[in-house]
Amino acid sequence: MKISLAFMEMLNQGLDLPKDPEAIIDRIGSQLGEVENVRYLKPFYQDALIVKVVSTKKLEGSDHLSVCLIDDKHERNDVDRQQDGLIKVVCGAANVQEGQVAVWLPPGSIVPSSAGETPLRLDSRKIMGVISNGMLASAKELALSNDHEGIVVLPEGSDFGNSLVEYLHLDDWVIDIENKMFTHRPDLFGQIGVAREIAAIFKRPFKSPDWYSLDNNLTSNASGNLSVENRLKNSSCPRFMSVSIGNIKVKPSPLWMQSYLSRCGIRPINNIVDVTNFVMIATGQPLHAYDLDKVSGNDKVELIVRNAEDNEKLVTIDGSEINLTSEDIVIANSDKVLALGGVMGGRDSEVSHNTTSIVLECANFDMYKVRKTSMSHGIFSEAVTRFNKGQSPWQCAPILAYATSLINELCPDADIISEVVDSMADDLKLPEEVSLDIKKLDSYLGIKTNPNELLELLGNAELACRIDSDKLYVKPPFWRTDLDDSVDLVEEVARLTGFDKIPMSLPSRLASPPFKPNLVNTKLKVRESLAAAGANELLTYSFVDGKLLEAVGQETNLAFKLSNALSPDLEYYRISMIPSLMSKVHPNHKAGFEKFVLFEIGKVHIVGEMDSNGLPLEKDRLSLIVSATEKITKANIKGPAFYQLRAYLDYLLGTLGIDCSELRFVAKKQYDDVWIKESMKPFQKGRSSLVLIGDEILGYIGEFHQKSKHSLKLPDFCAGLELDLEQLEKLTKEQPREYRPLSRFPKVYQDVTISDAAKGYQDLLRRIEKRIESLSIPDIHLGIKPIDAYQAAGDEDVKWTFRITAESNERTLTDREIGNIIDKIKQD
Amino acid sequence: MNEELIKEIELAKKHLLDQLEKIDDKRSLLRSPELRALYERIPKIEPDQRAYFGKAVNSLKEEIALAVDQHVNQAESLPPIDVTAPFAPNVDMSNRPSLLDANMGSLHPLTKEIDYICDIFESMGFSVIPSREIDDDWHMFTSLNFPEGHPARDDYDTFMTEQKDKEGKPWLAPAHTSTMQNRVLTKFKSNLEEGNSIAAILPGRVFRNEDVDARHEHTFYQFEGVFVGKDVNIGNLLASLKTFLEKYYGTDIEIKTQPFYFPFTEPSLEFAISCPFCSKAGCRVCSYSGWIELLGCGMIHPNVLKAGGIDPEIYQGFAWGCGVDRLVMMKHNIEDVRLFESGRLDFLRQFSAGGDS
Repeated sequence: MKISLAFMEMLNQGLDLPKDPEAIIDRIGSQLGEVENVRYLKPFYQDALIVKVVSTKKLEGSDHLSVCLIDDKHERNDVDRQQDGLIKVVCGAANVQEGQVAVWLPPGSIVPSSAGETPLRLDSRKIMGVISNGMLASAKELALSNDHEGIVVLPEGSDFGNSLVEYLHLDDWVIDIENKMFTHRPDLFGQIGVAREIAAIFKRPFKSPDWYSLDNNLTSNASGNLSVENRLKNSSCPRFMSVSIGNIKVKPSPLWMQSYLSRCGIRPINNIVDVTNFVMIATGQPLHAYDLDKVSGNDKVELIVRNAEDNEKLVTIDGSEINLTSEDIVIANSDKVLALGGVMGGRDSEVSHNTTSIVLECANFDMYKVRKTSMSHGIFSEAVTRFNKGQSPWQCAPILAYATSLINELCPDADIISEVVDSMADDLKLPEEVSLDIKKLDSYLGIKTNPNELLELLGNAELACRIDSDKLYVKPPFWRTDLDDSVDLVEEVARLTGFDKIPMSLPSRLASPPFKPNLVNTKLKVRESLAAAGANELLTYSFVDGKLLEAVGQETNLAFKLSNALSPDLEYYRISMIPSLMSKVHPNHKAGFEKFVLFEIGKVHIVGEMDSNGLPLEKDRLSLIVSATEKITKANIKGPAFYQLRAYLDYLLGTLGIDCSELRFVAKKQYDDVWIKESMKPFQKGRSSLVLIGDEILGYIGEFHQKSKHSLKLPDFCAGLELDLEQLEKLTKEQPREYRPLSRFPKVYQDVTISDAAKGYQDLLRRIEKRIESLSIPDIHLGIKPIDAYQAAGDEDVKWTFRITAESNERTLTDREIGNIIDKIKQD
Repeated sequence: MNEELIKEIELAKKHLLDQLEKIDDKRSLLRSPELRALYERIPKIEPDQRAYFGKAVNSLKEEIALAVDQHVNQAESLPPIDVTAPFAPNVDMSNRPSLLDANMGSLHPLTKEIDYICDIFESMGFSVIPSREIDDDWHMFTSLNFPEGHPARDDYDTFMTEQKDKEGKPWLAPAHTSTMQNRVLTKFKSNLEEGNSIAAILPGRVFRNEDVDARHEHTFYQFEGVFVGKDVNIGNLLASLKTFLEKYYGTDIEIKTQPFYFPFTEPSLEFAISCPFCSKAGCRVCSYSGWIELLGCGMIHPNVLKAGGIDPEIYQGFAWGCGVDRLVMMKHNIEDVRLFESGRLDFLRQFSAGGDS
């Protein structure tokens, strides 16, 4: 939102702003919204002079250049003059004529439109043998519009010899304020609204221009030739006003108007369109002008405001053809759609240089509808920006009257040729009075407010207010659609006071300890333990490529899919974490890391699994992957990656104090549970397993199947695990470990080798433990630890060597005692 | 399809499967001249037969692909192992895999920062509630005073899923941690009845559908703060944030605010601090302005309190949302936000005890 201080002053006679623009900019920043950019215009125009073209003469040898003699009333003293005091300028514009008042950029000045990156400095130079001093400027060169057809010509009889800065009030600051701050303030999309706010910030009373009043109504004696059937008046078009104006002469608008428009970022088009835009940037209210001859039938204009029918067409003024839907508001006549209500006009009925009469529309549309239409057709216009903030329908009448008077000013022959149509919702209400407990206000601000200061503060912003038995009552003016709750008044007071004036103090609270879920602590512990064991924590996106899911064999239709993904590689929520980690293995090997352990804590989801609140069930998982290149494994690693992973699993469970006596590994051919089934898919059967503690499934562990290894370029020494953090948290022992008194007697041990009978280690261990249990030797503490395993070539079974330790607190154990125990363990 | 064509495909299939047994590079079969020749024939088949033939060739290719896959898997797959064993047989103790060197291990700078932030707030009495990664419209928007169709929703370029909730609305990837506010208000409402306040910090991962560059990520981290009690005022908000930031940076700072608009707070503010890296002298981190815009905050809107079952006549409070990524980038001088989720070890290991790879 660009504002111009000079424009504000022009609109609001008597506007009392501080003289120091820096102070204004500073306060806008802290009390209105972020200042994104500031431009001081004067330096760009300071040399431009208004001059009279005394004579023109064709330049010999050129088909389009003329030699002009100009009169600057001797304002400039550093330029070559003829004896008669006139200055020679060669001009290429076709429209240059004797007697014109034009804008001259003298030698030494910079062409305003070129200011910035590559400034073009003018000089005196010979053109085909004639010295030309500077140039006569076009509107484009003055950065006023795109018009480069000819030089700028001021109205006949205009005074000359003055600076352009003075003429156009270019000693001006243009301040660009971030729009976001104004999302709920439609009034601040107009210069008047911002001027009011700035005045109030500086605690100076503001008065809106006289015409901006509910009493200002346009009247007409004409009748019978304009009608509006507003079918949406009680829904999405609460107000539609219009009037026909005849005897229009379409031409460029005066320079001052073009100048204000271009300062605020609007391109001048012609006097009629410029008036509608001028009024819009002054007030925030968009208007639209139709060429009357293109919308009328039988000498009458009969407009209809309605919802479009599906597949109706409209070509908008920017030339794009829109396929309308029943969600769109349109202005139509009996033949066709003329405009997209509140969004953009139609090309067929736009004002052109042939236009002689217009229908001027000043209406109000539902902000939600306007936004929807804008979004669904991708049309973003100045009107949309303003209407989708919810403009006040009350301002339609004064603004229509003001716009009509401006048209009259620009086209003195223009006259009103129709009745003034005003179609308004039946129950349209002015903003209602809002109240706020002064006590509540003080409690928000943490200070005691002074009632008189309060009334003055708000009164400066034209808020009618009173205080009655410790309550503040504010009757919002007709343009404020945002004040409907007592906290809105708190905001108003706090902002106009300045947040930096509010004293700071910490809030008080009871000293009870804050809450922290155990899961948060578990995660922290897991992460710190793993990092301490040489693993690197990484983070990967929550969204993955469908191709990755396919590569590891997971079903994409079980993954939540984004309908508006940034790209196909970020399309699916993850069913399990491990594929993301698998995808990070190869790039890191390629970058020269031969061996590493990566882990991530994150969330997974699967379609169909919901939590007790009806939301997709969200599971926290730890995923860990180990990988080493062939180069490393050949040199110094023996055995499958699986067992490296196992080392991490044992370590992790140990640091969490989880009782591992019930740790089990179970591999099945089929898994009934969908989530388990999908999570197991990346793994190779025969080299992977579920991880359980007792009957609780803790997660998955294993090496990956060939297809995913191949597509993700994983080395053979690569394995991953994924554990459910909630389960980990549940199993984490809060109680300290039980201490066993140290024995005064020596520990004895003996090794024993037993075959697993091809049933696996776990089975063998359980058998041994059962036998020890059945021995019931209460005063001896037995320890059992695997120390070696041997599998002969071609054998199915593995021979495991265990070290059995025995210890007693009461006596020295003999070798025979432990020998007996071992004999029994070995017995089949 | 006429019999000749059927026969032709059958023949090709038999031949291809025979080849599969013989050749070494099984995958090359999918690029075999025979298969290609079949595809090239499709456009030349009589129009009435063409579609059938095309389909048959496609399914033949799929069949061959499946067979190749099976073969490759069988041929290249490693033999089964005893997944219940603690280590592999025939490997002596010194060669068994063990944990890696502790010096190489590292925590991710983002998660580490979140822990640090939570620690400070915990010491200030704030509970910690982590945020969700998939949520519904009610929590993300409606409960936060964003009416349906409100233009303020446009400022949150929200990812949504094809799958819908019971009301037919898509699930959303939260675009801010404020998505947790309603849950926190509801959960800790009883604190208020007990005469205490609600104080919580809600860290989490959030998502925005925006183009990615060195300064913008579609995935980033925020921490939301919520404080509700009796007579909680704007000065309390500013003081809480200032106190946290001074502890966080270990130095005195100045603060600056700017009015803003959020539907879920009123008043709403943008909050900036004097640059802690140069004490306002101007440096690269603060773009030589001396100030750093840090977060959005404000007094919780009464409608948000109401949605959480709290009476705004009696209680009021404040909330803020702050990005974590930028804090970390400023702290460590990280120039590209995309490194965070890159999974690159040359990045991650710079945060290890060893200090580097």
